[in-house]
Amino acid sequence: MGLKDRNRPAATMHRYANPARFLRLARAVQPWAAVLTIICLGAGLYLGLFASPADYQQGESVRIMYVHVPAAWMALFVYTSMAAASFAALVWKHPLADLFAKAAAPIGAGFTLIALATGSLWGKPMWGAWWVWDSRLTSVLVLFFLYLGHIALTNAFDEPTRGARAAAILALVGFVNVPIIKFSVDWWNTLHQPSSVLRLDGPTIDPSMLWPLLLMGVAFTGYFLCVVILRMRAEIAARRIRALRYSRAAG
Amino acid sequence: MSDASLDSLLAVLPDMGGYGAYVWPAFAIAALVLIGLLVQSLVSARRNEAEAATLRAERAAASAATEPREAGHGA
Repeated sequence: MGLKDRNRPAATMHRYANPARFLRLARAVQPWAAVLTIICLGAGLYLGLFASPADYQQGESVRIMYVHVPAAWMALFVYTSMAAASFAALVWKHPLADLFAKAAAPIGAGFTLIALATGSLWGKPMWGAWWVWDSRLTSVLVLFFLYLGHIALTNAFDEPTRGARAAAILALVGFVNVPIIKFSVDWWNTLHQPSSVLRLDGPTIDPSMLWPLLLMGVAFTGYFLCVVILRMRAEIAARRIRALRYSRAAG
Repeated sequence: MSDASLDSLLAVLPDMGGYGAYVWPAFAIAALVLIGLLVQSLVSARRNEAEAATLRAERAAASAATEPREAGHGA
């Protein structure tokens, strides 16, 4: 590849820039991710919907949490991974990084939509309102629009590389919103409760509720892995189609 | 879905201590979004990979027909 020794980290990374190598790895990972997703989803749904106790204050409405909280985790995790990929795309011009960001954005938007909708369905009986303009809810709504903006920008240019570059800059600038979302419940007065799992002093939630929550979190992560690989495969094939059409038209 | 059929669906499911009308739609929306994304991604991956394979086969056949002597050196 003609890369010097001091570029070793870049060299290892660029090994995975080869779509053939990536596709082999993806095909090996995909079935394991699918099995993990199905097992954790089954166990998480059973525990969350039936086997876990009702909350002493919220009653059975607490079960909405088992889909709301993991979806919100994923909304932040997917955006963070997109920002990291965008950094790699802009600095090292890693071709798979752009591909990842493009494939991940619609999935992140889906998780954010789930977090917003399920939060609303919980807010109505518990707070007496479908929506309040408080710091946590508003910053997550902004995250949803960042995802939509990313999708729109990626597809806004005739030349895909220009769209990918513009979208990568948006992903990096928009990353400032991620810590704002995470700490909004500590920085401002808000109706939204503070975190009870991802705390420095350990979870304050009862194990009977923590287990379904973690299982659903693993299930959603496995789901993301499966679907992002599928979308990257679709995009790699789409690029191949474009290249083959172009060479046929040219030759 | 009409109100009547939604009511009859909710009547079959556990009533969740009176919160069924909020708990079940929350899980239904999540399922709808996640299954929708999965199906759309599966379909486009299959379709694009099949089309890329067809195009490549066509090109291989075309180059074998026009350059019979170089066919052995396939790219």
